[in-house]
Amino acid sequence: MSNVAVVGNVPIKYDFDECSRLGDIIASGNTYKITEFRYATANTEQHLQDMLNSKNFVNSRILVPDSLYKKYIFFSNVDCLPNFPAMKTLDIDDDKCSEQMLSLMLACWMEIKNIYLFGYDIENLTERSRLITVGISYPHSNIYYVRKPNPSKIFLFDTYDNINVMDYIQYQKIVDKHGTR
Amino acid sequence: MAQDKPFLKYHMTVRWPALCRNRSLEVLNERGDLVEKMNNFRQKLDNVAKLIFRKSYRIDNNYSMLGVKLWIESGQDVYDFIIRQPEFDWEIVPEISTVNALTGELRKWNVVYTPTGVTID
Repeated sequence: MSNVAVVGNVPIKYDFDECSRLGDIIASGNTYKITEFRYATANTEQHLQDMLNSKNFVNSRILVPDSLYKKYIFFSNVDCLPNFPAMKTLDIDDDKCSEQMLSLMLACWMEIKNIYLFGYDIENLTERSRLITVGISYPHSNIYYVRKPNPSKIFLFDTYDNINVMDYIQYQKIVDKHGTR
Repeated sequence: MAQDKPFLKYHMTVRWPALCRNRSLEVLNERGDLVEKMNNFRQKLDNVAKLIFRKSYRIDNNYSMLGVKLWIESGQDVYDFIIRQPEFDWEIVPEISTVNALTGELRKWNVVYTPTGVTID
C-alpha cells in the first residue's frame, strides 16, 4: 500500500469516496458520520461510544489507546493502537493528544509512502509544530496537506522536503491517474 | 479462501473439572476414567458453545493441563460466556488474550470480577 488519506478533526466538504479509490482512509474521531472508513482513531470515551453506535463505523477498525481498550475490549472492531516510539521521544501522550495526531502517527507507523491530510487542523500551533516534527521523524513518508483550491499560497512547509501542500484539483488528478475506477 | 476465514480474535481457557486438573499425560494414560470425563466435558462445552455463540469459535485440539482452550470471534460472545459461567457450571482461567487485527500481536489481559460485572486489567 503506498497511499493513505488521513481525515483530521476539521469538518470539510469533500467526497471521501475519491480517497478510497487511491487507498485506505484513516478517520480521526467521530467528525464524519456518512463515509465508511477502513481505520479510525479515538482517544475519548465519548467519541468512541458515538462511533460504536454509528453505522458508518460498523466495518471500521477503531484504534484506541490501552486505557480505553481495556474498557471496550469486548467490542470486536476496537483494537489497541500500536506503540509509536516517535511519540515517546516527542513526549506526546496518546491519551491526551488530538485524534488527528493519532491518525497521522498510525499512517506513519504503517510505513505508507504517500500520506494525504484532509481537514487537518494546522491553525492550532501545537498541531502544526507536531505535524512538522512527525514529518522530520519519518523522512521516508511524503506528507501532503490537501486543501480547498486557494490562490493565496502557504509557505509553511517549504523548508521540509517531505511535507507539501496541494489542493483538491491536484489530488483529483492523482486519483484519476493512479486510483481504481 | 483465506479471506472467508473468520478472524478469531479472543482466546481463553476453560478449566477442566476439578478431578482432571493438572494431570500429566503419563497419568492420563493410566486413568481412562479421567480421559472419558475430559472428553465428555469437551463435548458438553462444544454443544453449549454451538447453542450460545452467535459467531464463529474453535476449540483447540492441543492438550493443556489447565483446561480447554477456546478461540472466539465475537467479543460479545466472550462477555456472555464469562457472565454465564455459573449457569453452565464451569470456570474460566481469569485471563483473556486478544489478537490485534492490525499488528497481529497477541496480548494477555486479566479478568477481574466485580459486584457489577467484569473489568479488564
